[in-house]
Amino acid sequence: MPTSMSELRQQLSAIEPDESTYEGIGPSEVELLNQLLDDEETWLAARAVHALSRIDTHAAHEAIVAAVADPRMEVRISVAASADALPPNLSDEILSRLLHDSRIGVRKFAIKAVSQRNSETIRRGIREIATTDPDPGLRRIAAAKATAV
Amino acid sequence: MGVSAALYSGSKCYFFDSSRYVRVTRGETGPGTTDPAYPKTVSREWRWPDGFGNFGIDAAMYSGSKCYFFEHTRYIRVTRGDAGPGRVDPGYPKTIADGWRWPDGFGRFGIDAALYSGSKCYFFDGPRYIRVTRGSAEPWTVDPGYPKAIADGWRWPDGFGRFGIDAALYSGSKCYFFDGPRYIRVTRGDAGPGRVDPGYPKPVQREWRWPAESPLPPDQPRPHNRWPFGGGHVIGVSFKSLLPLATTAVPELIEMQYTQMRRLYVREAGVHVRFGSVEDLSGDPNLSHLATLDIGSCLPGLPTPEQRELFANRNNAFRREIVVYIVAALQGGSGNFLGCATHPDGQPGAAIIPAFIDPWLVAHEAGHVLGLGHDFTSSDRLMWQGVKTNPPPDILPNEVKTMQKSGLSHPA
Repeated sequence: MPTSMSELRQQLSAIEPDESTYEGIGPSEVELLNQLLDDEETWLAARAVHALSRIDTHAAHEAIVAAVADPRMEVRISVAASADALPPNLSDEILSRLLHDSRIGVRKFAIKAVSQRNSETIRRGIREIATTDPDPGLRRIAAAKATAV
Repeated sequence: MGVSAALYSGSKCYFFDSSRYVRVTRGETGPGTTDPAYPKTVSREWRWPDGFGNFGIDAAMYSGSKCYFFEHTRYIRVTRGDAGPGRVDPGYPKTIADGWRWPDGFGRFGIDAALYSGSKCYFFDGPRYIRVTRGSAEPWTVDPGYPKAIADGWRWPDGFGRFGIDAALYSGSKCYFFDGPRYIRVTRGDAGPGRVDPGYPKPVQREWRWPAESPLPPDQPRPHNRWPFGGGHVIGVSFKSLLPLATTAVPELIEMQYTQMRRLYVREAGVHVRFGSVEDLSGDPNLSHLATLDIGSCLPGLPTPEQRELFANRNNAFRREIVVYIVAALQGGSGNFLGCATHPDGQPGAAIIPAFIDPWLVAHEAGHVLGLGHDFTSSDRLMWQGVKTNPPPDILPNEVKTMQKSGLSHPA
């Protein structure tokens, strides 16, 4: 279990992370992870989002919701990709914003995170994206997702 | 493959290939004669301090009664005659940054080659070089207008040296330059590009005729050096960017990553990394959704549909060439990645994000493509699983063997 910021940074600094990258990281690290969301290393801030999504506490959830407004696309992608690991109401809250993000990459991972757990409003949004998104690749991905959910 | 460094030394000259070297007796031209009992091991014969050169050196330069040797970001100055190890001057190794103070980040991560040239000398770093007016002790004076591009300043034929060279050798009225398995001979004075002699480039191994087999002593500390001296292997690498080349730092990223990979692979693994091409894919609307790539588990042999779609774009790449795709983000089941070497069968490649944090990211990912797994024991190693490897990264003997046996590399 990492006990300091430097230990946490080191543990999260895998080039290709796997399950072991997040081992031992739990509720007691939420505060440090929250600080990492502001790290100047964008990839590390994005990884902190994923670590937070694995912690089922109110504080962790709050931090992820706040990260929806992060100006860095990579961080918002990580938030979008984490949505399917969050409670349905929280997932809906996040996806309702990120499905309409200005960046294709964020929208794509938001679409991919939608599941049958999500509300009808969110799923209807997928069907709309499948026909209206300006990016042809994204329309394809949304159409496939709309069929699946 | 060639050599990683060459040193003029009066009636002798020296060639370095990874942790081995040969001493050759020769005149201004021709291969000369390799002295008996060579190749020998660098660490055993030169006895440099602090492990300097144990894994090979990047460059060497004659300078009268002094010689300079360069390894990654460090260098030493040695007082010596034509033959023998001489004596390392007090206070060395020093860092290049402290000792030479070159402009514009030149040599920040080391150099590829150095050339004595009378009142001038030249240093080469990737596709750039500087000309320096020599004085008594370094730092000398970098001439105005440098760094310049090798391609602009030297105008070598057939793309020779365009992306960097491995070694340079002063030889009186001639100079020799080495680029992977090829070399050129140039007639020139102290300054200027001179004239490439007719018939060049020529193949290194065929012309120099260094001993193919190495009579390594039993206590050879680097048993991976089993390839013929100056032989080794060649791999190819190309870059394709889903981020616009004109408006991003991707061109600098490519230059840094390629140069570091090339320098490391030739120095420690006897592998020459041939530069293929660069392609800007950012304008293709059919690929824009792949600029943030879904890589799933990023496990070998399990590419995602998006990886299959992206890696099918191999314009101008040879069948065995490693194609590195530069994307804005890599997102998988375990979070965001800095690189991922999972690729479809028959389409060797890797994807990276433009993170400047690790100059050896492409070397690491290409290592995976060549068959190497992660190292979980030491951040000194190239295949260390984390970012921020202790520079310069080491390549282990068994890893060199795997790289050279890979179906993607071929003998020089």
